[in-house]
Amino acid sequence: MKLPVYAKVDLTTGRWERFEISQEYFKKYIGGKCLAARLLLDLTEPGLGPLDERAVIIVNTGPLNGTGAPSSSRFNLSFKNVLTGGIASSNCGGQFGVMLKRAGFDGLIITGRAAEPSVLEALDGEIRIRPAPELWGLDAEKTQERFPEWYGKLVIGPAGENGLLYASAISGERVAGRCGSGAVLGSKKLKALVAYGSKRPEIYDREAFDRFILKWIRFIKRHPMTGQSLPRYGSAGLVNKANATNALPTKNFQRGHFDEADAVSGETLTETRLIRNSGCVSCPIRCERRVPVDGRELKGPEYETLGFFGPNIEAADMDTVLRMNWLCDIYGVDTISFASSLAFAMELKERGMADFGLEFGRTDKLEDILLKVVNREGIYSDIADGTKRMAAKYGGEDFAINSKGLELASYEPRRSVGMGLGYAVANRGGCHLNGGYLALLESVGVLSMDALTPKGKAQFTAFMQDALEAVSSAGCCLFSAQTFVPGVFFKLGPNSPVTKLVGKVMPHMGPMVALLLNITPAIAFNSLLLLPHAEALRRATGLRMFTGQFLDLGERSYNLERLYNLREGLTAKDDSLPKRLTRDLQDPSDSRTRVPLEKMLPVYYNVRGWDAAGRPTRRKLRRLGMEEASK
Amino acid sequence: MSVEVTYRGALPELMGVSSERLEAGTVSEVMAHIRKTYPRAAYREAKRMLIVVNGESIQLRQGYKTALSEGDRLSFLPICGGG
Repeated sequence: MKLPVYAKVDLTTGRWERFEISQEYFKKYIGGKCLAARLLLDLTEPGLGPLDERAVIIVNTGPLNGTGAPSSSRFNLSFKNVLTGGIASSNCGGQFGVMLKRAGFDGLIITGRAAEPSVLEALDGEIRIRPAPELWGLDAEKTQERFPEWYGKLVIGPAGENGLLYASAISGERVAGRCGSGAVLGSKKLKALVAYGSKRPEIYDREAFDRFILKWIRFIKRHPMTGQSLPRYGSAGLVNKANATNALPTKNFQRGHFDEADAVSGETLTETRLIRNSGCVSCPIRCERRVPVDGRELKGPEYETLGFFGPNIEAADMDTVLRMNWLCDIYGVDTISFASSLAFAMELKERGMADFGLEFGRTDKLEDILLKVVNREGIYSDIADGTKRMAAKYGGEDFAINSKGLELASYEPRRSVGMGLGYAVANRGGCHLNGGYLALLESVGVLSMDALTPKGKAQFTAFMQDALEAVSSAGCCLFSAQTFVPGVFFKLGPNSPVTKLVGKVMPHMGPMVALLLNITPAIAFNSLLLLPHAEALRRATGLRMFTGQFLDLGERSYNLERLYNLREGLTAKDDSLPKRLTRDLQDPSDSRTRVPLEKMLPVYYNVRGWDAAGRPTRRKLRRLGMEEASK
Repeated sequence: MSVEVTYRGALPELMGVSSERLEAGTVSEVMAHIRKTYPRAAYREAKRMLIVVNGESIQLRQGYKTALSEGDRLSFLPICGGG
């Protein structure tokens, strides 16, 4: 078994050293965000600011990265979250991760601060830090053009240089969008990381691995979700679906339905703008939309970007969304946090609490304001700090749509209350994916588990979180896990009596799901239908990896990130949502259209094996084999 | 009741139309019209789709029994995913 090799880099001194992950850590934490959380706990001192010189950012891969496994070009960035003060993990589909591995490194552990703007080069087993002041000030596109086409690149734009708290990092046209990775890299004066090499990842049993991968790719291509829907509409297809179930955030989450939403829907994007679909390296799903922007063929917007630059600011202009998506990407700005901050600013104006020159329904000033925010000009610097800090200055905490400081994603949780629980407890803040993405089962998928009942939601949330954490730690895209809803339901359709019956039964399955999470050692088999990643990991690494162990990996990851948050001073009080979502009814005639967090949180803590204050118990940590991690 | 029906996803190709005006009192009657008028594949596909009346899923109403009013707008939308 080959153990992962990392490079520990100190930008202050310019020195680096090789760092081999121990066998114990590899077996328990595998890679990606799980291993990164453990390393952050080990290598950082408590209470250090996210932009401190001694702060650490880990850029790493999982064992499946670059192996040819489907959707396996995702790499991870973990660091102290600039917006929340807790942990951050941000995932990206660009080529950097694959190339980093080919260069001979499974990950980078970066600390310190360079004396001047610099580039980190990982080339054929060696690391070099070289000054590159000429790159400072360039956008992400132009920065990447300065390096050979065949390099894997990860760069920041002007937003990262100027310390936007939600600045992103960009690899090709792919973005590690959330939590401020760009701000951390900018604070370290690290403008770009590039990687190249010719090393092929070692596979424990190449023949068996390749055989399984072919089977898995065929399965993905045959599944109606990953073989038809995602290639045809991408995530953009969710706009109309969320709108139809009143789960599409509209006007800063005041409503869940926008009459003009179809103008910015995935169907409209496909019918009127789509040039072709494309995808990341080694991905058979190909969910990327190629669209025209200013006469060029560029990457199109994802669902979140359509929702936030559309209905959530009461706008319905597809061309504006396409252009804002591109501009945010090249400046290095997270579209979710930025556009959500715009919506909050619009509501502040509507209520006479602050005036940034922004109004709901108007898109004519957005480009101009984006530039001002990126350059932190005058009052626009406040928008660069996100909704939580804006609310602390101007008021409006009840409708500043964030959790722990990270802006929520584009699912209105009053019509998807399990998603509401997920947003509240997610370790990185208001994130749908880190939150378990129950919206897929409640309001935007083919199954329709009662979206308004708290019943069963805590258990399903914990299960989904663990599964998604594990997929991510393996180095795969979460879309590769969307085959877990059996294809037969897509063939039957959402209106079939069978699909409806399953939706009705699901809330009552909570205890069964909880039991499943407690008997993972007994789940000593793998199945293409559930989480094929476990079998791929088993064959790639030689580790004993069955579905049960795979779920344990996810649970370890979730608990490690929780431990990090607790260590940094976050508490159960931070597992919260703005009052607009927990107190105000979305539909005044239906008392169930709010997020009943007070009912779901205690059940969730219990399912997780945490105490009433949301702390992992010693017993839980012992079961996961990481009791020492809490010290 | 005269209602406006829009077909998205694979339906326009299977049916040869992307929208039409129909007389129907319930969603079931619209489905019956599709079964009678268009190829079998179109009906099979329509059954798998999300059906929306005036922007709201029929799953939040009475399913196929959802009553229609004069001027209602029906859409057949593909089931999508993402995250």
